[in-house]
Amino acid sequence: MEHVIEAHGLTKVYEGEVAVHAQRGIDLFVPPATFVAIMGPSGSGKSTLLHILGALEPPTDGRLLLEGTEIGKLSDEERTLLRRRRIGFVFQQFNLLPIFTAVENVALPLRLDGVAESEARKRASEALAMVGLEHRENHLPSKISGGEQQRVAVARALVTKPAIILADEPTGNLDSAAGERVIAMLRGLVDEQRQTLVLVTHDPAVASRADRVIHVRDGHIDEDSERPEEEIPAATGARPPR
Amino acid sequence: MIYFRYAFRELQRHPGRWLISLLSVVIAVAAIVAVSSATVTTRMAYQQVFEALSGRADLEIVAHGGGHFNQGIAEKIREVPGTRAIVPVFHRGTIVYGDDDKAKALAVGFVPDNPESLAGLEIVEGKLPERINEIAIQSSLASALGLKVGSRPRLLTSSGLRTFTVSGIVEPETAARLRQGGMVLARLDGLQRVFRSRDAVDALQILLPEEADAHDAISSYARVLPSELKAQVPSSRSGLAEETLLLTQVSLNMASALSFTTAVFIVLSVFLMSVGERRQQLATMHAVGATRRQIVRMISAEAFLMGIGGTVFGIPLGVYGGSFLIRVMGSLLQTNLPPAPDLRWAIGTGAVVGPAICLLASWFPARRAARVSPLEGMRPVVDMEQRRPRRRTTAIGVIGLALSLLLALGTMRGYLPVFAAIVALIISLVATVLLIPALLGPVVALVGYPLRRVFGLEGEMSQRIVMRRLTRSSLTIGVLLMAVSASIGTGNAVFSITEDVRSWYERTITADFLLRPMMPEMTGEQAASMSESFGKQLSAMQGVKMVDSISMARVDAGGQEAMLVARDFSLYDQVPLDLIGGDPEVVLRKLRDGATVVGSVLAERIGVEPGDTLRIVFGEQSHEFPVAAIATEYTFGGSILSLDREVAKKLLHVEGVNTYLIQARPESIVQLEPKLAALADENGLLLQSFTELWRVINSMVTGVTGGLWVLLALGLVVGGLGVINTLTMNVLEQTREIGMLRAIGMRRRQIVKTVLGQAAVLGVIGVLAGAACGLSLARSINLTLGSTFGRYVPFVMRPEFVALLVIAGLAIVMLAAIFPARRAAQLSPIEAMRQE
Repeated sequence: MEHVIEAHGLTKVYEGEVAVHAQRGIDLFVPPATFVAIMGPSGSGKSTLLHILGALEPPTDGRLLLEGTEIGKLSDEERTLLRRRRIGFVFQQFNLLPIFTAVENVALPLRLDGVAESEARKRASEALAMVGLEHRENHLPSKISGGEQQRVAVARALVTKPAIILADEPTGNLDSAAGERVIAMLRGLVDEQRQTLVLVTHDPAVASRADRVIHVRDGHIDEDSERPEEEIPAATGARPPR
Repeated sequence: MIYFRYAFRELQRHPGRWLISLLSVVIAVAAIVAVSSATVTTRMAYQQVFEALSGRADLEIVAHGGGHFNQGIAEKIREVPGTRAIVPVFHRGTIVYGDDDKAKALAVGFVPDNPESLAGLEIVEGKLPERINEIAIQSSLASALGLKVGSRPRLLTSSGLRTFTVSGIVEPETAARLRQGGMVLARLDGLQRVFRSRDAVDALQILLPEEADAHDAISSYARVLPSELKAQVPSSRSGLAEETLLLTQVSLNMASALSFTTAVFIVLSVFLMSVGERRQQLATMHAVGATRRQIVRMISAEAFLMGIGGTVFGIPLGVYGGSFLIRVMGSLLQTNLPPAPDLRWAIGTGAVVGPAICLLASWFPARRAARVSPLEGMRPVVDMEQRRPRRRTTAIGVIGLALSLLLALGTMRGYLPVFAAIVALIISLVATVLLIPALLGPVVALVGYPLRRVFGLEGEMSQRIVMRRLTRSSLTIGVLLMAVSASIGTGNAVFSITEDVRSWYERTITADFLLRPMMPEMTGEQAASMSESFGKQLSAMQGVKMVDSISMARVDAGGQEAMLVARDFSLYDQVPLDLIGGDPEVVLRKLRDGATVVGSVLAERIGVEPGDTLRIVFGEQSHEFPVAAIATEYTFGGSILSLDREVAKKLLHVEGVNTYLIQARPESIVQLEPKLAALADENGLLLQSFTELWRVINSMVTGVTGGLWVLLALGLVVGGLGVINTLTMNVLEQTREIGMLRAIGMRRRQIVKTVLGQAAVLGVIGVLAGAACGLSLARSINLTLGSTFGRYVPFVMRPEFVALLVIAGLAIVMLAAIFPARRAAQLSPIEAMRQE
């Protein structure tokens, strides 16, 4: 398989009194172990693109293949299972369940998939260790900092060993130090674990860590630039895989 | 005005939620209006009759127990200084026969040259009776029977049907009037003659100078009165009627108190949710300058609007329900009550109750809303509620429970009036709800265990969501608990009593037919009596096996008013009473030998037991009787004494027959009925067959149980609405989380399971705890009633009824959860995550 993501002419139109064209024929090909940053002004359609790539909403037109599976042909149920097993999400608002501890939040996708509780917990602990939060395992989200919450969210995205991680402004709610730590960790995942990462950001500093930066404007790709490897700052923060 | 505008907008924003609260307020207002209008109407009807009869007398002289006595005593009383006037009172129940129709009436004797004896009656047409065969008739009665001045109706008297001439039409000055039972005014001496009570009066009313002290006067009269007579304030004569009404009123008030409390809880939970949800909005208002007081006013305005809504819809519903209740009470008390409840009272009560419920329930949420600080309020909500139950709440709960226990014990032991039981009931329910937060943790863990086994992760999530919203979950469980426990409590009590009533009827009504002049008046006024020779005529009829003559008289038994029922026990092989203990054969023998059987309520009140002796006073007669046994009695509030008729006649001079019980030969029942009916018609009597009586009793019982089922269903529906409310709020609040869960791969089905799981946790705890509380409630209602009935009403525990309610309760809870669960499952992950 050459590309994890293959998008051909994706369009998305929100019907209403005035139809909104959020995507106007986007073609995108992402090979494995790549860090892609999507940038663009507010309302440019970058989040919509991420949602379509994440099988959260279907495109109005065009074809999207994730690991060779055509998303448009899947039912709602099949898309749910695909998200659960093959896609990891990291959101700006962290979106952790306040009723669950860190380790339980991370174990959630596994338990949703019917993995036995003890096994799910073990793998969640490993994921938490990978983001450096083994000492926060039994803390509720309300008891840890924003940066730590986001790292728990990253661990949750990782725990199923997904084909692709989609991150929507993951540093948007963090201070610069915590943001840097999260980005370095994500970078490390791509470098060391050959994870594919698509990240939406406003922040040029974050984008500068990506292998490839795509600028979206008015629903189409304005600029798609690959960065030579030597220009990309090295990963720090994430631990080597065990 | 800004407050009301804001309140209106808020109500418009969540019509469904407010509708649920509104409904609970409507139900509570309706229940309270219905019950209070029914009890007030009944009470007023009785009171007005008494007032009309006793006029404006300051005192009255009566025989202990209320029998009649010789009016000659008036001469002695007149000599007591300060006596302004004396009015002899002589009232007898009668039936007035017009040309085509008949009606019950009260014949009132008056003394023509004594203007005070008109007892508040005013002549509106014709003139007052001058001759002894003339009567003046109440206008409503006259128009009902088509009588005019000069008409010649017949009156049923102790000496048979007598014809009188209408000399005038009278109208009571006060509003006192009964629907059918009007008044007939006749000369005292004439009435005494036809009712075979020459010179006898029921009471002597005394008018004192305005400055006189009634208590001083009572003691001065006591000095001249013979021992069998006493002076008293007139109102105390209504004691027997009050007793009769008490039981019904207690149970009805209990039901309305329950609906009031439930409504307060529902409204409280809705307001708590609404305030929690509007936290940011309230904080913004606070930030832009709304003072705490303004925020409290705003929330109170919402509550007030809802209260008004509840009142507007609740009052008509309550008035309708009230007229139904009045009918039921009328048939229970075997008397006619005015058909229309007093609407002023109903509207007044409803107007206060609706807003009161809402303002009371919104007080705490409003204060909570006012306390939200602007900065704290505008922060994203992570965990806004305290997870630990407050110690103070738990302490209040424990104290409340102890207090209610004390009150209940006090009522059971008879130290406190029975109305204290209602207070105890309400306090115990509120206290239980206050204890829920403290108990919820371990209980949820217990209930959650099987849930986790069955639902897995979703079960665990449900359990945690329930625990996270401790206050909301506790309130929902509280509402369910109240609905279910009230249903089981009152249901079981009603079943126990109706069962008891049936068994009592089965044992005491041994005849095939009853023949009597009129339905017994619950006021205990003397009913018209029939001649004894009529009994002989009945016995001689073909097909008649046995005729028992019953005489009734108001007597004094051990200082209490009671109804003496004298019958021919020599006719029976088995004692026709519902005895509580004792060998029936021995009791029957003792009755024939002159012992008495005392009704349980009376026995409890005066503290007599089998083997004791009891002094019974009737008019000028008084005698001590051995008590043979205690029996269940329901009529006259259970204040009944049974004696053999010969004994009563000889020792107490109880004369006349009020009811003939006729037992037919089995093969002749069918042929006998038309003959008896013809005879009854001829003599102006009322014939009831046993089957007809059974039908009346059965339809009454069916009516009561039917009404009960409606109430139970309403209670459960309200509980279900509470669950919808809570779950909808939980879902709304978790919208973002649900969106995230859907994004990371939770199926719609799994979301549905999570919401249903929450319902299951709330439902199982609320319904099962409700069933447990309900059973103990039923038990304590039973014990409390026991002290009122004066004996133990067998506690009928109906497992099938409890099981049915538990299943119905759970089913309603789960049904109620479907809507919020589907709503949660339909959420689009992106839309959901966009929600703030």
